Amino acid sequence: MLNQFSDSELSAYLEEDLEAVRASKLEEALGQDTDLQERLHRIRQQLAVGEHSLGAIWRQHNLGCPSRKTLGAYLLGILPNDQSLFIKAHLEIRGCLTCQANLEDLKEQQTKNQEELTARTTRYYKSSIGQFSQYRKDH
Amino acid sequence: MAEVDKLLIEEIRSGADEAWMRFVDRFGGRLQAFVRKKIRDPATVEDIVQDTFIGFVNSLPNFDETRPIDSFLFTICRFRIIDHFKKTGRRPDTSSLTSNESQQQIELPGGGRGASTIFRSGERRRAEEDALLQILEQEVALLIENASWIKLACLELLFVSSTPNKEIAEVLGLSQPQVASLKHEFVDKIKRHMMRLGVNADLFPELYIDQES
Repeated sequence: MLNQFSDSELSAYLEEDLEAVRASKLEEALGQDTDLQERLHRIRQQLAVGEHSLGAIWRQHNLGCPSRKTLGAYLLGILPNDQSLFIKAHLEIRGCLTCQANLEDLKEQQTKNQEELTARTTRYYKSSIGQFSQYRKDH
Repeated sequence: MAEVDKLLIEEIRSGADEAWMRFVDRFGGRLQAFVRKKIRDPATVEDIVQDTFIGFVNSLPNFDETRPIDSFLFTICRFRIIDHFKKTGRRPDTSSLTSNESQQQIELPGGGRGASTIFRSGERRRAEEDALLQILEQEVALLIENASWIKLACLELLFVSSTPNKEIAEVLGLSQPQVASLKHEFVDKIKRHMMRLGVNADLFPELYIDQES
């Protein structure tokens, strides 16, 4: 597993949906493995014409991803054992970046002070409100 | 999509500034955490999240409310990250996967998948993938409804991350034959559904497994 990369992982890599550590390992392997380079090239061509594997469809549509509420319950350690094991595998082995980001955000909400969070929202709001106003004008 | 998100989108579409503020507040943190997984420089992270919000505004006319906002936003965000890596030369050429920078609208797989610049493939292939998506959604929903968490974890690891059977068995407390059996059972079920819908399962290599796997 450590040195082998599945087609599903190669497609996740091309779509920036592969965990950073695994992506680095893949890049390292790509430098030495021409077969891997060819597979990556083939998958890139397939993605470019809109062909997706079952695994890619599952991943792209976040099938089975737990809700934020469930992730919050996971964080609190109050889920049944089997569900908790599913989420752990989803986060750590499947390496779902979306759920990892949601979990991190939930942790931040518990630990960061409200002023910092409000300042962040204000920055994003100010930098996007111009575009939003344009949308309002156009529609 | 959650009811609260549907209402928020309605308010945003009606042009309410306050709703846009709530949207940014609701999704800013998770997007930032997502980008941080790929990029360390805080200024670049902020730029990409900002571009993601702008991309969302531009894509609002095509946004399909039957799809989760999260999924839509994270996809825009990934395209922005790909664009960034392309500019900085940190990834092999993935230009065919990114949004055309001169074109501000982002179109996405699934609901927002209109006349995509990214997935401009044959209608037939798209219909086959949509049919498979529909089947997978139903099967995953059923597993969740029945609280079949170990089975769901096993299938996800098999098909999404291609984790070896041995590792899956160890992590989930199953035997290797049990993992293989779950895989066969699932593949058979999916193929039956596809046949019923008149869809060609040959297009998806994962649906062909050898007897040893």
